[in-house]
Amino acid sequence: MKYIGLIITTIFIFVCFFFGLNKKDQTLKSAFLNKPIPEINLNSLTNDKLDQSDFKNEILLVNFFASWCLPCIVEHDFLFELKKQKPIKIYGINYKDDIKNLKKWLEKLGNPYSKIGMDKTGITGINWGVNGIPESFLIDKNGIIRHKINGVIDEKQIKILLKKIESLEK
Amino acid sequence: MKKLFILIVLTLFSHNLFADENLDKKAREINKKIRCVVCQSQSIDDSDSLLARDLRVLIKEKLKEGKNEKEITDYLVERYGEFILLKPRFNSKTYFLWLAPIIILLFGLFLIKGIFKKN
Repeated sequence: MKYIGLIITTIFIFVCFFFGLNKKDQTLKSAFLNKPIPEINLNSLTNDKLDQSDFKNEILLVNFFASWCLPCIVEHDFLFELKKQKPIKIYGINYKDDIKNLKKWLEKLGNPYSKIGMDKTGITGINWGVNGIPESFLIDKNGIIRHKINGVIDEKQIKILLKKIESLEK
Repeated sequence: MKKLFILIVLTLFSHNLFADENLDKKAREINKKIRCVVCQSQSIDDSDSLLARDLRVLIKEKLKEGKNEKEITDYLVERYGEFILLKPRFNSKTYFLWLAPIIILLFGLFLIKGIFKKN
């Protein structure tokens, strides 16, 4: 009984550290998860608009990228792979990029995007809570954000995305 | 007449200069309270990341639009969550965080008191 306080405190600290350090997912969750998409009103690469009206009645992926971003090159092939396995629309948001470099980049690597919005100032990125590119958002038929991927979409992420898309289609 | 004109120009110029200085000062005060979500242990005032630079510009723009500190931090919290604040707000999610040191301190005092009583 003499050391009961000490024992309780030690156990408490141990439990806090154990659960804190063993958290599997240490990435930042989107503040918009399960909420409608934030404001978007961008000029597209083909000189039309990418805005709220483009997010209706279908499941789609929004991918923030840039030609200067090296991980985006790695991701690019996986976007084609995703489209091959599940033909969904992918909207690209080109983040703080030079239009000439972007066009060259797309010519060289191909274009997996149905539409590309030009976020020249980075404001749309901030509006969407983006903290680094590449970053992607899975949007459902009602324009609600259902999943966020921080970083590169790779084989593992494609599997997760396919499962999420399947559950959204039900 | 010429002297009066110069005086008016100088007055207007110095007014703008002081207004800009005040805005910069206010913006820096807010910047110091906002976490850089890229570097995480730095404020956006200290960070050189691309996002930190964009956020600094945005905060200054919002101040120019006449938004106050609460409106600006609410806008950022809505987008990045409470994590973006270096000093978390006192609410139902952070009660434990803020009160834990007091609880632990009181617990320690009772413990010490108990030991002294026994001795």
